[in-house]
Order: sequence, then C-alpha cells, then structure tokens
Amino acid sequence: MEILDTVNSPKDLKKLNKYEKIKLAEELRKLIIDTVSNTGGHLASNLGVVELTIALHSIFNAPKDKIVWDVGHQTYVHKILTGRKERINTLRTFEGLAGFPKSSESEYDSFNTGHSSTSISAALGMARARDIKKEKNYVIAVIGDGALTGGMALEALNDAGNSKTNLIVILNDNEMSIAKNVGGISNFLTRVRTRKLYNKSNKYVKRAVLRIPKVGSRIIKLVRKVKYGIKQLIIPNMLFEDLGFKYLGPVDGNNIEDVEAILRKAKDLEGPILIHVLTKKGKGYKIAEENPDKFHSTSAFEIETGKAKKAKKDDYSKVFGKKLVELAKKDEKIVAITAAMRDGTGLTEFAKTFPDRFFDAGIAEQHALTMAAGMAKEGLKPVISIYSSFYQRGYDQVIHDICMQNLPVVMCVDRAGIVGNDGETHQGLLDMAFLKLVPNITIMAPKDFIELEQMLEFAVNLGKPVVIRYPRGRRITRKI
Amino acid sequence: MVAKAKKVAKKLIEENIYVKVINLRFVKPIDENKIIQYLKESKLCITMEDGTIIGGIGTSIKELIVENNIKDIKIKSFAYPDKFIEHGSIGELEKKYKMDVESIYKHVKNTN
Ligand SMILES: Cc1ncc(C[n+]2csc(CCOP(=O)(O)OP(=O)(O)O)c2C)c(N)n1
Repeated sequence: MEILDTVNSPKDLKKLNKYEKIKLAEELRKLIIDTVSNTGGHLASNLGVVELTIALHSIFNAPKDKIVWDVGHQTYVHKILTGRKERINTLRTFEGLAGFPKSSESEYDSFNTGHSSTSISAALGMARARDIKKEKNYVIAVIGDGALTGGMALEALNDAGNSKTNLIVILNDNEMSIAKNVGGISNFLTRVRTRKLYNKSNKYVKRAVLRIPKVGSRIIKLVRKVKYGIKQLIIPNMLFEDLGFKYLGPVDGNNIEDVEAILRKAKDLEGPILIHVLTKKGKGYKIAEENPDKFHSTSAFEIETGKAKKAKKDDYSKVFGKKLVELAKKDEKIVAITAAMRDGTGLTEFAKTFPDRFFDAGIAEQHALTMAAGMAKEGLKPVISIYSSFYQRGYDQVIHDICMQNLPVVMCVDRAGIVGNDGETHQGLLDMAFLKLVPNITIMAPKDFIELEQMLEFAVNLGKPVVIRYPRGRRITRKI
Repeated sequence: MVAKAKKVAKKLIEENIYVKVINLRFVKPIDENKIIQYLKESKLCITMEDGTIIGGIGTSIKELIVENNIKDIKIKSFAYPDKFIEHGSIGELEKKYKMDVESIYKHVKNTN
C-alpha cells in the first residue's frame, strides 16, 4: 500500500500525479476486497466508484464542499480516503465504522444516508442554506441509476432544475440497481449511453432536413417540429436539459483523468448541473463483475472462489417465496410485487415461475404499495414484500390507499426486528408501532417457518389488509 | 422471540418457577379474552418483542391490565429502547440492549 500509506486526508490526494492515482485505485480495490471478504458489505458498488471517489476528492475540497452520497452504501472508498483507513477493518462491526455515512463519525460525511433517493433533496437544501448564509462552497449529490428510480429523486430533480441554484448531481450509472435496473428511466439512460451510434445518423438526418426547401411558414413550422422531434430522438439527454439541468457526459467513470476533467468543467458552470458517469459494478474483482447482484451486498466470502464463508441455510424470505409459488399455482389471482429487492425478499423463484404475475416496481416503495392497492381493487390478490425499514417510506400508501379502502393486499414485512450490521437506518424496529395504529389492518408474526406458511395461506384468503412480519435470516429452523 | 421465551421459561422451570409462554401470533387484533384470563392467573407478565418499546405489544398488554383493572400483577416489557439502534452483530446488540435469554432470565429471577 505504497501510495495509500501517504494519503491521510483528501489534501494528500492533490499531491499525486495521474500514475500514482491509478496505482492508488489498485491499492484501494485490494483493501476493499480484503476488508469486505471479512466483514461482509456492499462490495460491488464500492469497487465501481473507486476512480470516481478519487476524482471527487481531488477536485473538490471536502469537508468545505459537501458530498452527499445516495444510499451511502458506496462510501467505503470515501471513508478510507478521509482519514479512516486504519479503522476500515472494523467496518460494520459493533463499535466499529458504520457501513453508511455518519456525521458523528467524520466531518467528511456531510449527510447521513441509508435509504435510497434522498441525496438530491438533501443537497438542494444544503445549497439553498449556503446561498442564504452567503457562503461559497460546492454541493454535490452522488446518486446511482437505481436510486434515480425512486420518486423522491425525481421530485428533487423537478425542484432543483427550476431553481437556478448551484448544485452538482453526479449520476453514477452502472446499469444496475441490486439486480438489473428497471423501468423507463433506465431505458432512457441506455439510450443516452448508446448516443454515439445515434450521432452518426444525426448528421445524415440533419442534412436531409436542411435540404427541404423553405417555402411557406407552415412548412417551416413543420420543419422546426420535425427538427425538434429528431433532436429529442437523437440527443436523449434532453430529459435532464428540459428539466433545467446542464447535462455533462456521459464520461467513463472508471477513468480518473476523464472524471477529473469533467468535474473541473462543472465547477465553472452556474445553476444545476448533472454529470452522467458510467461505471462498472464490481470493477477489478472478476467474480463480482460477473455477478454484480450477488456481490451488491455480500456476507463474508473466500476471495479466490467468491463463496460465502458460512454456508447459507433456509431463511424466512426463502420460505415465504417458496410457499407463495405453491399458493400461486392454485390461485391465479395471486401476484407478487417487490421494490427492487427480488432476491432479498425471496421472490426470485416466483419471478421465474410466473413472469407475468411478478412486478419489480424499482426502488419505489410508495408506488409499489399503491399499485398493489390498484390491483386489489380490481380483484387480484397482490402480495408485496418490503423490508421493515423501507415501509417507513410507504406509510401513507399503507394508510390512505390500502387500509382506508380496506383492500386485500398482503403486506409482508421482511427484515423486521434487529437486522444487525447495516445499523440504524436499516433496523426494523418501528413497524409494529406504526402499523398497529392503522385502522382495518391485521398484523401477524410467525414464530417459525411453518407458522409463516400457514399465515401466508390465511392472508391471501383473508380479503382485507394484512401484514406478516418476520425477521432477517434464520433465527429458528425447526418447528417450535 | 417465542424460541427465546421458551428458553427463558425452561431455565426458570428448572428452578421451580412456574412459567407459561404465550405465542402472540396476532399483534393486531390481540386475543384479549385469552390474555386477560392469563393475566388474572399470574403474578408477573413478561413481554418480549423484536421492536421498539413505544407502542408495541408491551404497550397493548399494559393497556389491557389497566383498563380491565387487573390487580396483583407486575409487568416488565423487553423491547428496544426509544433510540436509534446502531450497527453490530445481532448477538452483540441483543446483549447490549438486554434482549438476550440471559438478561431476561436474570430479570425474572430477581423479580421473583
Ligand atoms: C428506500 C430504499 N429501498 C431499498 C433500498 C435497498 N437498496 C440499497 S442499494 C439499492 C440499489 C441501488 O442501486 P444504485 O443506486 O444504482 O446504486 P449501485 O449500488 O448500483 O451503485 C437498493 C435497492 C434502500 N437502500 N432504500
């Protein structure tokens, strides 16, 4: 760790030349793989942002400049570079470094995160505070393409784009949420990525349009319209531009020099800016590059094989998924819904068995819950599984859309109770208290796998809103 | 939690303290009649839940005791305190917040 040994704060980064930074990236990757293979954690997301993080801390001056990391699961590199490398081996452990940003841990962690899609809102608030206080600093939100599918991120883009506030949003696009990213925005980003192809045809079409003789205002108008239409088709980054952002990119996010160049450019521009950065999830560790979903968040593993150090046994999520497949075979009204957590909630087998009755709404708990309400209203039997702490996001949807209309939605609360290493943002300790007070709701808690199966069967036939809450992992295997 | 409660119960029964474990399958609606009946027969009620202390099942049972004017019963709720709980392994956190079998067992023994 020749270079890393010399880096104790971002100031030290600024002394390095480009070759040293490339070497540093290599050292950081090794340290992260070594660390996470012991502690578990968000491996692939961090391997993807090594160069981006080096560039950010080279060009900006944190902590004066504020960097807000969306979800915050990709901050291991940031933590190492901001004076915490000696403690990185304690990552996610009791009394050790947290797996997410914590202001209490370091002044470089400008805003605490853990739940997705909050970064642009927080950053806009911090930028507006800066302006009112007449201070001068940059505020940067770093958000993944997955997190961008969350409603809050879009609400924030809508507000920020119209605000003329100096704000930099870095879209870290690796085409992946936990699994492959889903939805129209994801498709849109794919079109932007392949823009170069379109650019060729652009020239050809432009020439063709210009050749149309300019006779009569109607034709001119038509030509303008056509041109605009073509422009949109050809330069799809217009979504962000139309929202009021200056769009820069796309740029190779795993190339430090390129990222630094575009960040420098952004510093000189006014108003809200969006930089589109393309990175590779799992970069530099072949097994994670090939299985970015498995290594999004992993338990401790053997570096050579990628295999978990402790073999996985059945857990509540799997038991839920299996039983739901069995029930759905007998009842074609049953549909399953996830908010970007197909594997984590145990719905992988369901998705394979009933692709037409499985819906991944994206990181969009609110939308997913109200969509379930819509399905229930029309006679389906939607079963939705969301982690306890993420139900906090969808609380009004549970109240206003599902329970107030007394709709038969089965709401599974996975990761209920203490979850452990992910810490305060992910503990599932509040759901019983906040769900219990909602009228029309039934809440069950199984004591073992068999009870979970019985409760699920009961729930899909209950005909009104019902919650089943169960903990992470495998606390009890056999019937008790 | 039921598994944990059973472990606590087993340790207590070995010391001739009579314990009954109730599996609260339904957090809502709770089985009021049954629970009231048990409360009337008991000296001490322990509630255990994997959630925050405020507004959980402990709260529900306390309301039942007061509203039904059940006398001669003590109640102790085991749940996570009113704060955001940090990271650590589940075992370490359970110990710290006295949610492990040993802590609960000790409490009951000392109350008796
Ligand atoms: C509200 C909410 N729902 C679900 C999650 C679980 N989650 C953590 S990271 C993640 C995917 C994030 O994808 P992206 O933003 O593209 O980041 P990447 O890891 O690909 O860099 C999800 C769904 C969360 N943190 N918050």
